[in-house]
Amino acid sequence: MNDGPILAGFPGRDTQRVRKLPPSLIGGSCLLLLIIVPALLAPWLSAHDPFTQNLALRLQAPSLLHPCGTDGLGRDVLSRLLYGARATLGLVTIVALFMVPLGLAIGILAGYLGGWLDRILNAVTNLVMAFPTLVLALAFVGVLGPGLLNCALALMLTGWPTYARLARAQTRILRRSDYLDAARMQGIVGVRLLAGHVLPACVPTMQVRLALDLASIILAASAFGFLGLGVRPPTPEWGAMIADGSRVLFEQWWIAAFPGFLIFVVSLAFNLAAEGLRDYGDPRHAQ
Amino acid sequence: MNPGGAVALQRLLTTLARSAATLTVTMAALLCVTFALSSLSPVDPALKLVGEHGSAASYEQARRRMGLDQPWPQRLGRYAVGALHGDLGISLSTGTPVARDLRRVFPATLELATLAMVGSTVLGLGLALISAARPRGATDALVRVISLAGNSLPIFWLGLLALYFFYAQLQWLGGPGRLDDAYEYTIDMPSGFVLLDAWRSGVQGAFTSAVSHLVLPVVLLVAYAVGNIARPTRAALLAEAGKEYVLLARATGASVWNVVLRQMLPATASLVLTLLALTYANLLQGAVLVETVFARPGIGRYLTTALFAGDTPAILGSTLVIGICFVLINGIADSLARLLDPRT
Repeated sequence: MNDGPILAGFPGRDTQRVRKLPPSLIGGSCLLLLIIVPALLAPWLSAHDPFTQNLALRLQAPSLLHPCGTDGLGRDVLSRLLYGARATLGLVTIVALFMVPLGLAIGILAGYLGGWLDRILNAVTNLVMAFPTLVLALAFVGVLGPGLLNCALALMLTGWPTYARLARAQTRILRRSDYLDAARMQGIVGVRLLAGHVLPACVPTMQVRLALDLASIILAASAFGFLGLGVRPPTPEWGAMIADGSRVLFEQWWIAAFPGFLIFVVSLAFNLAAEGLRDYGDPRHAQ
Repeated sequence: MNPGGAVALQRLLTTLARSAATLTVTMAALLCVTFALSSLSPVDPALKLVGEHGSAASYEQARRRMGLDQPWPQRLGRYAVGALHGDLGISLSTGTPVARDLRRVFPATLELATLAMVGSTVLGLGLALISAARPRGATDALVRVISLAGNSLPIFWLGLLALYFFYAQLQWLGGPGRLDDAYEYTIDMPSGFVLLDAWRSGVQGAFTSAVSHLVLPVVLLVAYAVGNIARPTRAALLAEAGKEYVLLARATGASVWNVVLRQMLPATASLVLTLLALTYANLLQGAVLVETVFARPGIGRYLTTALFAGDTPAILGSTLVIGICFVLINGIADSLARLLDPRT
């Protein structure tokens, strides 16, 4: 490989050394698969339709027929949990898909071009970071109206600054490096330089940050659902299911308990993965 | 005047001036954000005020009185001037000024967040010290578990479960609300701080009732915040532990705890201060969900009630107040940290 010497010691490209994956990364990924696979297979796995109401069978305790019981409208809770994973995971995916590129683009542009653009973008980044994000996101959804799209927008608009800051710091380190000079001498400039040579350097720190963020986005998204700001009923969503269950909490506690436990599992999975990624990228941190 | 003093004074003044400027800009930006949200709202406040069956003339009059017929720069100016004078508009659902409502509910939130802050500071710093003194020990593992759980558990769900076990099943603690029903409507709440008012009322059992209703929400908030204080402090202490001054101090015969408390802890003071401020600000935010679950009448429940009702002025008013506290707490801590640590 002719680019070996240039990339030696470059973060994220050291393929020479093969290190053992940290147990927390493996554990987190396994937990995530345990949620994602059933969510994808929901139509085949669920024995009941998540929308079919049966008022004769409302608020049933867990049984063989309904392993997680039935809710206030006699719907099977297990099926709704399986389908509900789709709403939660879908929202998280949408947010990550738009928030990260937005933050990275702003950060890399600011860091690479410098000057006035950098000052303005950096000021805006710091400003948004100084805001109380959860309350602002709540207000955004509350004012513009409930729904999946507004939740995603609110979380994106409050979440991008972390990535901008990371990318800017990393880009400023690289800006005057021999590594980029070498790339420029080969005629790589503009977007190709930024996307092909600066962007990869931002990936390792960004991965850790994203995993941590996804854990808190899951919690925020379920809080939206709990407050009735998420997807519209009757579409199953875990946060909204907790809100439903909270009305009969003292008699039928399991209706609220199951969806909350799943939220916990997904969030824990992302947090574990974040710890694992951090230890993997920087073994000194593992002590 | 000695030159050292003059330099120190100049440093103090520049730091204060810079912080004041940053704070002003951030507050102004926050005001712009809430204004933008209110303009984007699909709810027409004039229509909401006049009602669906109001005449066109009264609708026009309401629009003009609320300044909705003016272009947006004028409306922003009007909004900003109003906010500076403590006018946050009229709540669409209750018809009272939002500022008056907020003044009534804010003390409850402050009380809850402050109690949780005291608890999590003591516990968090204590755990950080113990786990830094013995890395990989039992306390270290405990801190890791608490921190992971605190960052992964949905706090509203944990609150519901706690209500189910400790109130409905075991009946150890008070349930929803800030007092038992027997006291809720008989005690005056002049200050809004429930502990203080219950104590002052002198009514038999009122104070105990207030405490038993506060325990669960405070413990929940502490559990959520303690890991976020303990883990970064532990990491900072461990980073200090490798430095030469620690080795020197130990070599001169100072005990471990002496070095940790008298030398390492002050060295990390500015970081800890920033961390504590961030935690406090986040507790004010976290109180929103906890108050909703425990039906405690604070700014958080006011906000969520307004969210349900689509009451835009109330939503934005409470957002602004929480936002101002958030920005202020972080800003003050930031400038204090700068003064404490000349390197930054």
